[in-house]
Amino acid sequence: MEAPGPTKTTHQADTLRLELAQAQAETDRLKHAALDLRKLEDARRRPTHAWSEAAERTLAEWERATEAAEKRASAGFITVTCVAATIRQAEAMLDLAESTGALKNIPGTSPKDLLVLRLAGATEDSALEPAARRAFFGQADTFELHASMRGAKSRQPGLRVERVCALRSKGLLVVRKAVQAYAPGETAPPADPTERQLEDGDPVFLTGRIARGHLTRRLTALRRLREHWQASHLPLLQLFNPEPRGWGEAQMVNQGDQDADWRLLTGAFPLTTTARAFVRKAIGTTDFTLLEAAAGPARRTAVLELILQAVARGQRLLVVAADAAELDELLAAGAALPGWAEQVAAVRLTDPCEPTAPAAQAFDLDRQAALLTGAVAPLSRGRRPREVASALLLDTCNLVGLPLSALGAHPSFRAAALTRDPADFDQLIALGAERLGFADFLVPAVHARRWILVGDPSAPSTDTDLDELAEQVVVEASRVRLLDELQAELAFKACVGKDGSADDEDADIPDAHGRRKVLLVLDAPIDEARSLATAQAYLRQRQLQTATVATAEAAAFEPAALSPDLNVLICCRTALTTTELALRLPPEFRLIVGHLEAELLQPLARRVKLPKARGKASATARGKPRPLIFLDWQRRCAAHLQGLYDYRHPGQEDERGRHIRALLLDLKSLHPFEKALWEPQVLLRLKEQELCSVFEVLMNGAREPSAPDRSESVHHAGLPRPYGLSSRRERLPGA
Amino acid sequence: MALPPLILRRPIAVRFVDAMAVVRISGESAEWPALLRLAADSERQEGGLTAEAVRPLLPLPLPAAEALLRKGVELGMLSRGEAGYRITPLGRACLRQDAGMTAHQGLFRFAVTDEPLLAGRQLLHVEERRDLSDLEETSLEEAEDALHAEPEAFFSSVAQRGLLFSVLRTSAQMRPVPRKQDLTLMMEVEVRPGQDGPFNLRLTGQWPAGKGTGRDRTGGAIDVRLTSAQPRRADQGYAELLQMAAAASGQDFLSAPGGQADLSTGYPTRFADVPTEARVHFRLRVPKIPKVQFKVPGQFDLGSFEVEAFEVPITPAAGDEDLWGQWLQCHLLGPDKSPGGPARAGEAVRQRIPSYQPRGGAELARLALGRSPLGRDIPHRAALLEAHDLLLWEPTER
Repeated sequence: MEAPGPTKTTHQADTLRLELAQAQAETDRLKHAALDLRKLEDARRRPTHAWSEAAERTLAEWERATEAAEKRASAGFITVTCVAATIRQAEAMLDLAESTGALKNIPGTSPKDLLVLRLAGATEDSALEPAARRAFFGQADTFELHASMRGAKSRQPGLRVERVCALRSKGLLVVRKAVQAYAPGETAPPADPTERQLEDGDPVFLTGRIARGHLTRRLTALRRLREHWQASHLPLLQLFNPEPRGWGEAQMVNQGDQDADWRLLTGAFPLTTTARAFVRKAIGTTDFTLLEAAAGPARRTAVLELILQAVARGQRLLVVAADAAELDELLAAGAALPGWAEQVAAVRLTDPCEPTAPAAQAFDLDRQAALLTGAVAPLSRGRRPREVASALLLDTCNLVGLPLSALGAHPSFRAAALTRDPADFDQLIALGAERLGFADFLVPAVHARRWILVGDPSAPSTDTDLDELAEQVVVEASRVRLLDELQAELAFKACVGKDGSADDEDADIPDAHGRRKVLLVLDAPIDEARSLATAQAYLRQRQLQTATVATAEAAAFEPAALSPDLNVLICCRTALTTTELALRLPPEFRLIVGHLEAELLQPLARRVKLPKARGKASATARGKPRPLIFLDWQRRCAAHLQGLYDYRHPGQEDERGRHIRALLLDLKSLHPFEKALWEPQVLLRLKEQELCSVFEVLMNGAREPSAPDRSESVHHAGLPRPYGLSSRRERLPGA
Repeated sequence: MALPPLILRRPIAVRFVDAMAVVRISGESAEWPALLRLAADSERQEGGLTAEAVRPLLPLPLPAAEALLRKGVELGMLSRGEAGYRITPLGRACLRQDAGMTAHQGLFRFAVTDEPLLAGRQLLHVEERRDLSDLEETSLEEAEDALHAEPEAFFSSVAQRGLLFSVLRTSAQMRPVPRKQDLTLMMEVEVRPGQDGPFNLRLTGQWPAGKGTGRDRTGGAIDVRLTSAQPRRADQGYAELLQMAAAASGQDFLSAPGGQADLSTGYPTRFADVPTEARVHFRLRVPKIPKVQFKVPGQFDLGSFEVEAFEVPITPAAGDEDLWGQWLQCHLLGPDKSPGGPARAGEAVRQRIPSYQPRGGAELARLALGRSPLGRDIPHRAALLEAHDLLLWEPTER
């Protein structure tokens, strides 16, 4: 087996860091080997984690993409439709607000100031869009209500409201109108039209900042892994190596087979034997252990035994659960065990928009911190006693549990904590790892030394934010510096009638040169001026008369001043969504736009003309692929990527093939001319980053099975077969 | 008159190395000062601190309180004994600073000195390098022993007041910072009478302002006292050092005090050995000595020091009192040619030299005419003239 050696990297300090890390890893291994001295000299078990340039490149690229996404999100707003909640829902929500004490914090608020809103899409059968869930049930708590979508999109001042209480699973929000003071004698202004609309049962539009906390956390984790990595991070870095070498066989701790050696796993059943093997591996491992088990009592018992055995060895554990209910059940079951309180000090972080189960409320961090606050108040030296108490509990409790939705509640996962050393956990136990994306897994993973993933491969996996994915598709496409030209090419085709519209019955009458007027709306996610200039230069090459409208100048735009010979008017999507530009345009323009919210598209489509072949992917059914299927291109790409992922299992090749063909067709329609076909690697990598759960990544790697030679599309290698993976995995019978 | 403090100075060179390290650094903490105080009290009363005893101070769950104490051991502030957790020297230092330790891993810049007097305290400062963009083009070197401290050793920074640190582990290789960034500090040892050590070392100098470190460091005099760990011989003390300094300045006239311990009135000195000013004021001024080699085994025989100017009080050596008194009486008489002058001068001398019997004017004159009171070697014309004047003023006694 190859000995680990320092690899040259871009950071000079990395040689030193690698050396120290490997010395520490060796010390850890020696300490760990004390569990079983026979295994110390076994070459197969010697981990040779290496930090390679390839891994750093992958990480750097991922970091860059996340950084770009975070930057975009920081400037964006999201608008959702919502209606007034039913009376029963409103009563239930106000009771909840009363019971959680949310109303106590805002004295002087009368019930008249409170509104209970139900977000559209949050029904029993369809969950709320992830982006909306994050924006309105996350850290931000001030929003605006608008009477119309255009008003919301153009950022006109609306009714400012503040979140008082929320229930994410039902999509219900209790908000408080901003308090306004009136001078004596002054009468209150007439009720806001938005309020009247709500009272009438009409939908209103709630606008808030796009949440970027999850992106910041991912970015923080990636940066820590790339720039501040430590010895304990070597196995995580190893995942990014293209070649899955040096994993060695997993170790198992020596734990007897007598019932007396175990707390919960007693009796001679196949289930017990497997669960014991899992616990032995989980404690003995130096990196990953996987348990395939469906959520239920068997899985809970195995995890509880692991917790008790690890805590007895002085370890600190971080438990992250995809499902808050599973965490609460685990804690409640643990608390019922004899001797638990003497061994385990557990604390649970809470998600403000989802209530904790009553049985687990005793572990609530806020509740425990409140008990400690009085004692630490004289010691806190200007800091808030509550914060000091929380930090002390998080530092000293040997079991910290949090649901995935409360990831932002842990102070060490925030960006500001990057320069500090990671919170020190011996093990991270991820429950429901099939629902934990790889990027989200890294957030807590960089704070632990060993990673225990408990999941059910047959359960439904991560839910993706298609909007976010679509946005990333555009960014990736524009990063290869083609998107603007491609959009311009489509405009050219629409202008000269090569888009098939010449055959249409309602085809416009072209001008003397056979050209139509086109409004080209660029996506321009990064640099508006550059995108406008690129598209304009491209169309001038094609001998077309063009004009541009920058977003900042849209207000001063005068349609009458346009030249009668103008062929293409170019603007960016923001100019269309945030200003009244579209309403002032002469009606003879045809529209080329990537994606527009339906509420905005409809009135615009009535005024200007959409190209005939408007974004129906099923256009292939009519015999020949239409070149002009650009409408909603990025969302369709995202949907195909999701489809590729959903049908990844064997036996679903047909469905999978359909999505691949559709994806390639979309790409082809973007490339209908001389340039080389844009290979979908970038998109496939996006799929790996955004869609794969960590459980899957470790089991299979993210390598495309159909294209083994495409090594550049390998994002991370997963655990190697045969013994690398199999020695780290256990499967509970029945899973 | 009290004996003066002897101030010895020497420049010391400080070099810098960058190394990847795990370092414990003191900082503000809410719980640790209180916990360390509790540990110190418990150690006196019960022999050690237990997790149960922590809970009245911090009502944590029992396993959490136990974890907190174990963390204290990891951070070097506590040690585990049979009766419970005991406070370590580092813990006591933290308690004095009202701080707690935290462990950090990263690229650190260490200020190191090879000064033998600072053996065991060779690390003067540590600072994390967060901005790696200006890493110099230097090659890596195998680490020298400089950073290899004792496992329990901890240091206090000379650049940041109150900062304690200890180094747990460093990479085997390090990156020495180029010579041009080396720093010279002045090390000062102040030896006071009756003080036989350990002596306090004070380092002064201008610490370079950190580049982009964010901390406000205006530089200026650094005043951090370190206690020398250098072993010393018990029979060497202040008096010997004072004599050596005087000898080094070319003024080898302080008689060895031998067995006599009481120097509160001054050093016994031979009349003939001291200059006029010292004879009058009973104070000997030793000028600043640029370099002096102290060759006292086990003491400061570790190089050269610069010695600040100092003044030593002196007294007439045994047997010299009368001669010294006569001379002084003549000297103090000065231009005072009144009849009561000799008596007044005699009284003034008697206050300085109690055993001296004041002479009358005629006796002084006779002595001046007969035999020079100053001895043959050091004729003193002024005193003779003064005596002569006295004769002129008091003819009746002739």
